[in-house]
Amino acid sequence: MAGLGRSERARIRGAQAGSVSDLEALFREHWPRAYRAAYLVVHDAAAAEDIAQESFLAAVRALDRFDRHRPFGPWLHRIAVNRAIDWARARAVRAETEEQDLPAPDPPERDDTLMPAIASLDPDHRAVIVLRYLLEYTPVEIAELLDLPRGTVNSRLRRGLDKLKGRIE
Amino acid sequence: MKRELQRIEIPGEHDARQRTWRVVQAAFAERERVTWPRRHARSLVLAAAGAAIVAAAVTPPGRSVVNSLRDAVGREKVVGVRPAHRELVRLPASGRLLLESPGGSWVVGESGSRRRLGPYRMASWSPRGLYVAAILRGFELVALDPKGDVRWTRGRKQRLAFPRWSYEGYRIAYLSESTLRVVTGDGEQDWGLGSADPGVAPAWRPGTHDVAYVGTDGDVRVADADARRLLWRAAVRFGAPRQLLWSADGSRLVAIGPQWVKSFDPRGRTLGYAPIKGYASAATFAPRGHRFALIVRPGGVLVVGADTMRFHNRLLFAGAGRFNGVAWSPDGQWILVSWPSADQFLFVRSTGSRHIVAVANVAEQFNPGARAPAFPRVDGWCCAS
Repeated sequence: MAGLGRSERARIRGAQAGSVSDLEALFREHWPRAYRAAYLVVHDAAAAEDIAQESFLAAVRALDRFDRHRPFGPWLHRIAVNRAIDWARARAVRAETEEQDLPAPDPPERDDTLMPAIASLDPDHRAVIVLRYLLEYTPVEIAELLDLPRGTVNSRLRRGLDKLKGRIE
Repeated sequence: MKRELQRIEIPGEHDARQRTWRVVQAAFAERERVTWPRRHARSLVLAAAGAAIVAAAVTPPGRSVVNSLRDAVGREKVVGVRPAHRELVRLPASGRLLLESPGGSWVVGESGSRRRLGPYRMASWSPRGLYVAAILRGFELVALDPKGDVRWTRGRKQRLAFPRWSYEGYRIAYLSESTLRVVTGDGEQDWGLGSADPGVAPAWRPGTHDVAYVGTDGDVRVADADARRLLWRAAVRFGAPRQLLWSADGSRLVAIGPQWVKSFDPRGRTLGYAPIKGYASAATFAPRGHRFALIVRPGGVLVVGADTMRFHNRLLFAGAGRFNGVAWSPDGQWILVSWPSADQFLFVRSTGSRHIVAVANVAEQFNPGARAPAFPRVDGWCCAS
């Protein structure tokens, strides 16, 4: 993941100079994965949209100061995944109060075997699984992105995978 | 594993991508426009300075209006500012205002005439302005006419808040502590709908009996009040919403958070989201279209398009101090901004050339005889005659 192609560097430079097409190229390349990563951590499409959008807006606001020799993706993913973890943690501790006299809307239909299994993990484990297996960061890179010791990342990966295997099998 | 993670279908991903790109593109365009005021600074400064000299020389309230020009220069061309009127003589557009001061609710007629309704709180107009629903002594829901004659009352043991009429006046939604309740317009039948944030007023979707409210968990919810069924709910982030408002055609629902704004379509799909630099305190939709006025502190009054959430350079008015309320005139031509820091009402023209009518000494007019009169809150501007 650490490699930075010349084309991406050129796009960053172009976007810094005001090129909408270069910005759009960056958006096309990086937004889908940031959005998917956020969704897999928060399990809420609207929240994932907000998180990915706000992460990209943060990128736009900081574009002038961005060092174009650094890769854009990890920087964006760091913001998106950390915000998603914060959101999921806040959601988990907030008391869910359902109406006593109003039936809830029908849940959306879904037929993914992995999705409920990932949902059963806590947000910290979800995040390392997503970073490792969706975004393909190494444990060392994940440790840097999440500001965690490498051992913690490895243990979360191991426990997360064990739980997923148990759920899927 | 990667293939499985990529295969998971996310509902509405394509729409989310398009919405986000629109917002990102708008933010990027705004970033480029930073230099615009510099090109026009000289002419704007000259125009504003001319207006400032005229206005500041006449009255102290005029000075406070003009002080705000300093903030406006470079962002909006502000013309036509005159010294503030010493008191509210006449509204610039048809309709009547509903205000609340510590002494109770007031109705202000188009001619500027003032009538105190009584010691009511949180009053709201019925759709055609024939009635007012309000809270009396905290525990009584009252329907009365604009002359102050009470039509019916309903008492409860719980503290009541935020009565709001449905589009045709057949329902009133209100909060009974942390429960959303609905009563028929004649006060005869009353039922509960669910748990709700006691600090956020419910909002009826125009043309329906669907009511939007904020749950105690901070989610935005919309329920069919007659079927007593939840239609949809949507999670929001970074603090629970403080205000909900529907566009007049019922096709946009906007949730205002402390530092963000989010718009939904009638089925609960997110249309736009925008973080706010500062602190959003009040908002109101235009009587037509999808624009809404938003008060942001520090800053001023912004006009925002609910479809795109683009508003960075749509500053309507900027001023020092605090603004605490906003109302759009029924004809859509004027926006009333209440400005306690300057003890003024500002009527800002929302269409055509920018024009501002300022009215001073507002607090005293609605707290006669008080030693330290409190500034009134604007509860609504209704209805076109």
